Amino acid sequence: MKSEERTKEQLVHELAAVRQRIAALEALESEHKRSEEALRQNEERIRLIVESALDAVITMDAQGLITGWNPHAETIFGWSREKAIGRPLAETIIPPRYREPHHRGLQHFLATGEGPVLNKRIEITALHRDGHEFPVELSISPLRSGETFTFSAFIRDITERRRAEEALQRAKEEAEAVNQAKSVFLANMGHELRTPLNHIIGYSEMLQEEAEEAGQEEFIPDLQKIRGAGRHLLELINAILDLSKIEAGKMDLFLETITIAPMIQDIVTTMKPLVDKNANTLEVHCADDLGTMWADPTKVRQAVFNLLSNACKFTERGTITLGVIREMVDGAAWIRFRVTDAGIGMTPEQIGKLFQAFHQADASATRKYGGTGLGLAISQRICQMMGGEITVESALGQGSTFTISLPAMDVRG
Amino acid sequence: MAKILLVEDNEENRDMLSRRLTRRGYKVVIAMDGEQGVTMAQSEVPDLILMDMDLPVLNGWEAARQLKAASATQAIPIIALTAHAMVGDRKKALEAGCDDYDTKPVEFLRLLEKIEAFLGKEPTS
Repeated sequence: MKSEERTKEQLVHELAAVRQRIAALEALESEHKRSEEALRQNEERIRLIVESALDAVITMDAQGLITGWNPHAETIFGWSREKAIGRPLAETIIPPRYREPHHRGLQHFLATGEGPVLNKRIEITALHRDGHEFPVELSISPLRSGETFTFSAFIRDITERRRAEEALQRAKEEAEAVNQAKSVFLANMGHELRTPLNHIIGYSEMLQEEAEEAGQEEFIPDLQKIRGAGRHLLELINAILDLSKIEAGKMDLFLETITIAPMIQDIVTTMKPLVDKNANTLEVHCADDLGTMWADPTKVRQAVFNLLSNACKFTERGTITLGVIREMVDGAAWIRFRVTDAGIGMTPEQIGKLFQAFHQADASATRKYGGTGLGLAISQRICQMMGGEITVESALGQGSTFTISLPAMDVRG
Repeated sequence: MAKILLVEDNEENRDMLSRRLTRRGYKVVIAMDGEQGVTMAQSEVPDLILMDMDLPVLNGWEAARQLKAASATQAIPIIALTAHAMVGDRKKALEAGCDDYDTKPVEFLRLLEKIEAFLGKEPTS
C-alpha cells in the first residue's frame, strides 16, 4: 500500500514534470515561430530593397552562374529574371573581348583570394541583350558562404553621365579653340588695321605741314583732329593687340639685367609733357640701394608708365609721387614702384573692376579722361608674367596708390 | 645734300616718307624690296639707309647682313623700321648689323632725330 501510494505520488509528480516540459517546449516552439517570422519579414524587407533598387543587383556563384537578378537588372540588360538565372554571367552582360580577363580574374580570386577589381567602384563597358554596349559603374563584393563564394554586384548605367561629361569636355575644348581663334584673329586684324591707319595719320601730318607752308591756317585745326582721332584709334588697336597676344600666350618676355635708377630717370623725362598737361608736380623718391633687377625692360617701363600716365590723367594741379624701393620678403628681393596721386579716388566696387579689360572705373570716365580702358588690365598681366602684380589702395575723393611689385630675381638679394 | 636710300615695299609709306624727307632737304632714292635695296646701296652710295624689315624678295634682316658684310657698304648707317611691339624684331635688326631702329608707324619727328644723329642737321631747303 505504502509502495502503491508512493507510486501514485510519484506518477503525479512525474506528470507535473511532463506538463512543465510540454509547456516549455510549446513556449520554445512559439519563440521559434516568432523568430522564423521575424527572419521571414527581414528577408522580405531585404528582398524588397533589392527589388526596388535603382541599381542592378546581381549575384553569381563560384561557377560564374547567375543566382540573383533584380528588376533593375532586367531594365538595363534586357534579360528577364527567368531567362537570366542560371546563365553564365560573363556571356550575359560582358562584351566578348572582356570575357577572358573576367574568367582569369575569377579563377585567380578563387585560388588566391586576391581580386584587384573587387570591393571598389570601377567604370567598365557592359553588354545589353540586344548587343549594344554601354558604360556602367560596377562594384563587386565576394561573400563567403561555407566552403564556397557568392559574388554580389551593384551595377549602375552611366550612359547619361558619360554623355554629359563628354558634352562638357567638347564644349570646353570648343570654347578654348574659339578663344584661341579670336586671339589669332585679333593679332592679324590688328596688323591689317594699322597699315591703313598709319596712312591716315601720316597723310594728315603731311597735309598739316603743307597747309602751314602754304599759309592755309584754316585747315590746320581740322587736320589736327583727324590726326588726333587716328592716334587714339592706333592706341586702342595696339592695346587690343597686346591683350590678345597675352591671352594667346604669344607675348614673349625679353629678360635682361636692368639698372633701376637710370631707367626711372628715363621714364620721368618721358613723362614730363603728361605731368605738365594738368599742371601737376611729379615727386620722385628712389631708394639708394635699388641696384639692378632681372626683367623685361620694355614691359617694366610700360607698366610704370601706365600707372604714371593714369595718375596724371586723374589729377589736376596736384602732386603725384613715384616711390621706388627694394624690399626683402622671405629671403627674396622685391622691387616696388609706388605711384600715389591726389586724384578722384575710387570706391571698392570700382577697384574690383579695375583690372578687367575695357573697364574704366565708370563709363563716363572714358569720355572725360580718354584712354583705352585696357592699360591697367595689360599692365597687370605683364607684371603677372614677370612673377609680380599690381595692387591698389584708394578711397573716393582721397586719391589712389598703385604699387607694382616685381621680384628682383638677382643674386644680390 | 645728304642722300637717303629708303627701302620700303608699301606704296603709301614710301610716298609719305620720301615726300617728308625731301621737304626736310634730303635727297631720297627708293628701293622696293631687299634685293633692290642691296643693289642700290652699291650703285647710289647713300649717306644713310632707312629699311623696312618686312620686305619681299629679300627681307630686311638679310639685306642688312649683306650690306654690313660688304666693304663698299658696311660704313653706311642703317635704321631699321620694325612693326609695333615686335621686340624680337628689333633685337634681330640690331643683330643683323642695323645701327638703330624705329617702330612703324613712323613718328616722323622722332625718326628725324635719329637720322640727324647720324647725319647732322640738314638745313631745310
